[in-house]
Formats: sequence, structure tokens, C-alpha cells
Amino acid sequence: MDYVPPPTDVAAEIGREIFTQRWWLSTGRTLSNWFTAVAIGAATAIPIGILLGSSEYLYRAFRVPFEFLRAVPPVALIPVVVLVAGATPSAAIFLAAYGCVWPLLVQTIYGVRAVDPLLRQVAVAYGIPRSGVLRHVILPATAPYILTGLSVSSALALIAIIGSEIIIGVAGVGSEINVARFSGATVTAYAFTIWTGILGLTISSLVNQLKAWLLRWQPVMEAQP
Amino acid sequence: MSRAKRLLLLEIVSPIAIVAALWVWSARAGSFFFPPLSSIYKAFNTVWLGPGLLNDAVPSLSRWATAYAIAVILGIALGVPLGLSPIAKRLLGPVMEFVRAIPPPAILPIAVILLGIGDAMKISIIVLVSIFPILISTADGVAEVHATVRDVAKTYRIPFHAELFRILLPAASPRIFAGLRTSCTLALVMIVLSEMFGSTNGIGYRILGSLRSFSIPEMWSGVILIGLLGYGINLFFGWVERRALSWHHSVTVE
Repeated sequence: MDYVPPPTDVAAEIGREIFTQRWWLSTGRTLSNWFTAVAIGAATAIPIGILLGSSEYLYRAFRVPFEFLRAVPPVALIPVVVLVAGATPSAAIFLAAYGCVWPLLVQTIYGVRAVDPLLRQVAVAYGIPRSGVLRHVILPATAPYILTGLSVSSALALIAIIGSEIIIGVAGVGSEINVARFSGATVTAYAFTIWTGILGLTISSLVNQLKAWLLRWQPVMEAQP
Repeated sequence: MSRAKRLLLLEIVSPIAIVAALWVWSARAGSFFFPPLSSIYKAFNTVWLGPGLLNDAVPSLSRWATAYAIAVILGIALGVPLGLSPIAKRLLGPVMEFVRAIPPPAILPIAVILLGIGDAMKISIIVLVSIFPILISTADGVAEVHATVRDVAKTYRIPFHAELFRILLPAASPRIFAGLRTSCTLALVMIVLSEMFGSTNGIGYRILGSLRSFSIPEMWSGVILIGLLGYGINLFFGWVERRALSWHHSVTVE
């Protein structure tokens, strides 16, 4: 059947395409949008998470609205970003950052709330200023949670980036799959699809290595939620 | 007023205050992109409680339910042998890891090449994507059952079906529930995506259609409908877990 090319053909196609400019150009676009989105997501979620985790009042005030926003899948916002930003990289980045924020936010809040109160009290008793408590007590204790959130978020962000490339045509690996499909180059469409899987695996293993490296000071990996 | 009461009050008042603030702001802003909440509310009533209910919402929900039911049955049925047999896990593990690593929307174009844009495409792609959380959590849950427990079952010559339904599945149930929850949300995402990608009806199709005809309040009403569905899934699973798994201590973990 024409629609299911033999894997050897797809492999050969990957072997050919991997030397082309469009292969790496589209990969570069996808990855740089992905990275920007994760960075924006983390820069938004971690400070807000620390704030909400430290104050019971703030936490309660924003719990229900955040639960609702978290339940809105980023794909539902596709039309909204198309309307406001069109098929631009910023549309894809916004969607991915939106998807990224929630797991990170929830994990950060959990992490801060799980900090041993004794540690905080000791820091306060020694007269360590608030910034010092944040830097030397709260952040290290919360790091395992934040990094767990980061590994979920980075996968979600890739899904959102590729999703917006496919649905709204933002330039990247996803849009190449569509271009190949519309021009009848089925084998190329398969090649790019397999490539997204390889990118997904690479990203998740890199994030896991980053996590292991950042947490190398931990004697044993603590049980995480 | 006690602290607990004040916190509860805050929890109730703040969402209302936020919606009210949005209502007032959107009414005054006169922005084309962000129409007044009152007109979105009106659009919600005329579309989703009107013709859109039968033409779009019902087809979406029925595809979603069919696909989710298939994913649940297949996921649990395949997850049990995968959890029990280390050989099966070794054989299928790498392939599963790879298929799972492909971002789900990337599979859409190929699904359309293979199956067109009918229900078959949507249901298969939802099953393909949402089966993995169930499959993996079932396999993990079954594999974690303590060897002693299984040895006791063997010693007492408990037949396999009894062991399965009385020991393995109940022991794995907290994990299975976590998988069911994740996949239900994933299924919702995939139904919307597949309807936006290629469809002739459905919630996702309707949202994209309203965008193309610049019926902005209608478009927002669809976005809110999906949000409500997602929120509903969370509430439902939270409720089921509290009821069905109250015996299990780890349930409090989200």
C-alpha cells in the first residue's frame, strides 16, 4: 500500500533529508520556540508558585480560578492566539508557555508547602534575611518538585509547539509534515513524524540528565509526588 | 470569624470577584478580540444550548466516550500482562517509549493519510494517544504488587481470574485511576485537535469555524465549553477517587 511505506524507505528518507537545509532549519525553529516557551513558563510559574506556596491566603484566593485555567487545554486557545498573533512563532510560544505554566506552578506550590517548618524556623532564629531563606532554604528544598514539574512541562511544551505548527501552520517540523502530506510526499511526512519522536525522546532525556545533575547534592533521590 | 472560615470565604469570594472584574472590564474595553462577557454568555446559550448541542457537542462527546472506553478496556487488558511478564515488558518497552515520545499532534497528518477525516481517524488517534497512561500505570501497578502476596495466592491455589479481580487489580487501582484521569484529559485534547485538523462537525470544528467567520463571542463560548469539560473531568475524578479509593492512603497525592 502506498500509504504505509516500508520502514526501510522511511529510514532512507531520513538519511537523505538529514543533510538538507530545511530539515535543520525547521528543527532549529521548533527547538528555539520550545526553549523560549519553557523559559517563559518557568520564569512565570516559579516566582508565582513560591508566592502562593508561602501564603495560605493567596493560595486559597487563587485556587479555584487557577484550577479552571489549568483545565483549559492549550489547544482550546488556538483560535484566540490565531486571532491575536496570527501564524507567528509568538502564537506557538504563547500556547506552549501557557501549557507549561500549570504543572510547574502546581509542583512549586506543593514543594514550598512541603518545606519542613523547622528549617524555616531555624533560619529565622539565626536572623537570616528573607532573601537568604529563599535562596538557601526554600529553593533547594523545592528544587526536586520544580524539576519534576519541569520534566512534565517540557514534554507538554513540545506537544503545544508541534500542535500549533500543524494546526495553524507556524513554521517548524510540524508544518513540514503538513507540507509533505499536501505535496503527496508520504514518505517524507513519515520521516518528519519519526523525527518529532526522536526530538521528544532527546528532550526528555536531556531534562532528566539536567535534573540528576542539579540534584546531585541529594544523597538519595527523595520520594516525589 | 475563625481562620478556617475566613479562608473558605476568600476561596468563594475571589473567583466571583475575578469574573465580575472581567465582566466590567470587557464591557468597557470594547476590544474586538475580547468581547464583553455578557455577549459570550449570550453566544454560549444560543450556540451550545441551541443547535450546536446536537450538531457539534453530541458528536464530539460520543466520539470522545467511544474512544475513551476502548482505551480503558484495551489499556487495562494489555497493561496486566505487561506488568506480570518482564519478558513482554522488555520486548515492547522500547517501542512503546518511542511511540509515546512522538508529540500526539504530529500523528494527525499521517492518521488523515491513512484513515481520512471520518470518525475512524478521530477514534483511532484518541485511542492511540490516550491508551498509554492507562497501559503504563496498570503495568506499573500490577508489577508493584508484593511478591509475597502473589506467592500466598499461589500457595492457596487461587485461580487466576480470582487473583486478577480480587488481588492484582484492586492493588493496582490507585495507579490505574491516576492513569485514567490523565488519559481522560488527553482524550479531550485530542478530540478538539482532531476536529480542528480535519472534520465536518464537532466542538473543535465549530470553534475554528467561528474564528473563520469572525464570530468572536461564539468562538470564546467554545473555548469556555472546553474549559468547563476539562474542569468537569477533574472534579469527577477527584470525587470518584475520594469515594472508591478512600481505603488507600496515597490517594491524597494529586
